[in-house]
Amino acid sequence: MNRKRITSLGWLSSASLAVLVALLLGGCGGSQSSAETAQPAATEGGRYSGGEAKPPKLAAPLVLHDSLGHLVNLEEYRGKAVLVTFIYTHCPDVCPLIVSHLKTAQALLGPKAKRLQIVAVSTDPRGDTPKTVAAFLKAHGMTGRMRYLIGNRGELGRVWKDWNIVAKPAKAGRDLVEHSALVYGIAANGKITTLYPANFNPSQIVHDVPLLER
Amino acid sequence: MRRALPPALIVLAVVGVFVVEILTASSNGNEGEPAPPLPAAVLRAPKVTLADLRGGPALINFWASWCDPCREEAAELERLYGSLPTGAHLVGVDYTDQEGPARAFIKTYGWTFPVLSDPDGVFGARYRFTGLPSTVALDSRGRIVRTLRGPQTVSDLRRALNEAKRD
Repeated sequence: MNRKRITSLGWLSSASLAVLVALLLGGCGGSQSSAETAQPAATEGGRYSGGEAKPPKLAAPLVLHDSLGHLVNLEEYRGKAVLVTFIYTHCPDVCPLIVSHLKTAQALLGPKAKRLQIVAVSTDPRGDTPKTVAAFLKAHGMTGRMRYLIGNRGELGRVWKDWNIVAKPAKAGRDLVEHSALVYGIAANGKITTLYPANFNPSQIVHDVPLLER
Repeated sequence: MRRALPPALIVLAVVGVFVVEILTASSNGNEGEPAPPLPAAVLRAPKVTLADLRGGPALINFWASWCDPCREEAAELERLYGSLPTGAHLVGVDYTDQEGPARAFIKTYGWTFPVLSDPDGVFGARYRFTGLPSTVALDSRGRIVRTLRGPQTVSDLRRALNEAKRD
């Protein structure tokens, strides 16, 4: 994979920038389909380890084909805990980190991982093809362990808008995409209930999945 | 009547505090704690356990072949290894990676220090780092002194070793 590096930003800065961009432009507080407020850490008496969406809101529609050509509708996962994130395969830092932490969370959950569905939505209609997605999933040991939804700009654009997601070419390089980088925790009732920044700890997911699937 | 702040502004303030905390925090909250176990799988011998690291300061470097910032410090780690002070240790842990690309990475950068493999990330997760690369400094008793975030230079790494030696 030909990745271009973000040369002017180190690891932490780019992750934090993604969080900042996400939270300022795409994430919490501004959208009908996103949480109106989110607290970054469980407060005393809070149930979740991740940020809590207050109030929880019904997740916006999400119907796209995955990288294998199957039509995926978020509604079909009612009754399960679902994590939704927005990534792209050529992403040099934040996205691989999100995926690696999700993989770790699945490993830590063990047999309970079956009760969690991970869904990634592309933020790069040009770069994310069935071939590049297959290679990405293989590189990260996630083949068959998550659904990766792709589409053309029109199809993805509608989802980005509904979910208040920023996804636009980055100035740093043609292959780079500036995008919201949160992980949305959706409970069994279909409501966005928790939010995790790109640098979440896998143990937060392990803690919250049993609560989300209730 | 005093108007309440718009919710969006409240959110931005909270976000600002949160992001600043990410940017400036130098603590994982595990300083002083005994280091969690290391994975048993080996990518580059010899196998290293926590017991092997006792007696001197140690650096545990978490990395992955898919991590671009990890490439920035890869040569620095080998340089450090070539001039490690007596009694100090360096071990790499490949985190949530595939064996083939990881071995290619080690070969590309000519690493000669021990490297362990943590393909599911379950060992690394216990160190509570929040990004890659992360380098955890241990004192001679195997307690965590500090976690360095992002690519490091030889000077940064030497400084961390000196700090861990003093503890």
